[in-house]
Amino acid sequence: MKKMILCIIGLIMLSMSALRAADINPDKYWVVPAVYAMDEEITWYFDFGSTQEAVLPNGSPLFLWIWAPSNPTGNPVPMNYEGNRIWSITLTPTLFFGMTSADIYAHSDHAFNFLLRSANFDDYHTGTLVIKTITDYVGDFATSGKIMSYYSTENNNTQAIPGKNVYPTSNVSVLFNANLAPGFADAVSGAKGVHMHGGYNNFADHIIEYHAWETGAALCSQPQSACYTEFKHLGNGIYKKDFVPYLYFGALEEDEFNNFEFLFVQDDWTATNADATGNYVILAAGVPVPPPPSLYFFPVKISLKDILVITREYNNRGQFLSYSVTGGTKTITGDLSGAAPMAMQRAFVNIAEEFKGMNISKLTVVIKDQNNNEIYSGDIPLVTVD
Amino acid sequence: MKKTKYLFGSLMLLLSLFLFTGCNDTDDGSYVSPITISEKTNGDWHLLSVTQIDETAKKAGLSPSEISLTDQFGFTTFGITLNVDNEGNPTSYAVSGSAPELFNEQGYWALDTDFPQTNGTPPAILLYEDAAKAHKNGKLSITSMPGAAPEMELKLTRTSNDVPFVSYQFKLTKN
Repeated sequence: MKKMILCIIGLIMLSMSALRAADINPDKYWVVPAVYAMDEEITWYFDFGSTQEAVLPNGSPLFLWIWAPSNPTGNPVPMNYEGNRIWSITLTPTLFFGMTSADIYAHSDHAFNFLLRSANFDDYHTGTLVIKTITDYVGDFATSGKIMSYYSTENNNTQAIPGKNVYPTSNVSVLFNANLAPGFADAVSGAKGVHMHGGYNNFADHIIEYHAWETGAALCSQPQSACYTEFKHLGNGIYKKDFVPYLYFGALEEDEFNNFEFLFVQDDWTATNADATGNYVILAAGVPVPPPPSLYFFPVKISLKDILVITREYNNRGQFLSYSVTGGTKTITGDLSGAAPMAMQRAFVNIAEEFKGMNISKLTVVIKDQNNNEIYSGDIPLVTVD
Repeated sequence: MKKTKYLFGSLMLLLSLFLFTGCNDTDDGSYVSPITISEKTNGDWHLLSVTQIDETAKKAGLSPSEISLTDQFGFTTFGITLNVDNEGNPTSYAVSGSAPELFNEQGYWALDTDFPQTNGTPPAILLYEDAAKAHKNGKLSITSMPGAAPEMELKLTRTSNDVPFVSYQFKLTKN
């Protein structure tokens, strides 16, 4: 009898020890926003959807135990329960760690290393988790020479990915360097702000315009207002906007999403900036990246007695091209045309008739789009026919 | 007596051979001249299609090497009349319609051969400024000869230093 009692007590102690040693791990964890400066407020989310409630009950206390880049308080830091088995913690790295941005970036781990645990550690805890976002995205962008760049993170990804396709639910950060955009001097100085004027699917659906006349902080939650569309000035003419596409553009997650297209607008439309070949377009994941626009002249060699064919393939949507051909003192102009959606545009130029009888040895061709952006400027030599 | 019988038999056999001979001269039929290219190509033709060929690109394997011009510049109105004299010899020609003038719109023509060549070289229509056909100013290769279907293809090729760089392929049908 005595032996049996000892066995039962042993089993109970064993099972308790097993419970006390319960390891938990989040299914996924992510950071919002995708790109941030170290003096910006950020939130880390942890999803324990598949961890049994018996081990980690809903809303149970969960603490952050972090050692890199520093252990700021020496104590576990309580986290928030968001519901739906998601816990979070919101912090501003420089304040939280008591370090400067430069010191954080300079840390040898180049990552936030931590685990999540119960107050006493033994009830439940995760293994080491890592957020590899100690990257100076903003600084790198400022010196990249790019006017625009974007990053995105997915819910199972803690590192912002530059220039990748995004999902409607992605956390997206769009960066803008006003220093490189003509006409944006007031945005560089901070005297004026920068706004996003954009829409889903090449402005076909869910358009969020910039309504310059809808001003005031009270309208910040109102789509299309100046506040809603405004970028955050990070200083030195670098602007950033963080958003989730389907939420920002007022769509449903399941709505068709091929891309979102936009342009940068300075306060009151005092300046605008778009890609050299049209508005900026960020493609949805799974949508193949079209080849870059391709311009060619046909035939390769041409004489004064021939037909010249100018073709540009893989044009950006909404881009309309025109040409001028100059031979000697005569210049002819015309538009390139094509079937919707104008991905291929072509012009046939009757050189034989237009320049008949002229003593010329070359043609000068200039091609521009409707915004006067120069697509091509060059000479085509005329060969002598036998 | 026996010898006389043999002589008589031989004579009868000889006479019987004449029964198998005809009474008229051999009939070889009347002489017909072979059909010349001129006979096939003369007349009024109008355009079905026209294609511009980049000979440089074609040789280099570049794409595109051909682009259709059919719907451009009024090429659909293109027509050409190849006239012949009473003996069927080529005389003058004239282009009609509003298509771009890729070769002289009127003049005189001849053929570089009266009959198709056995070496595969396409016969050609030679274009002249003058009736005496002393000044040639163009050449249209006949890349497809009219046959059962009244269709013909002519190819105008431009060269520079004897190297072809562009061609125009006209597909025509007879009016």
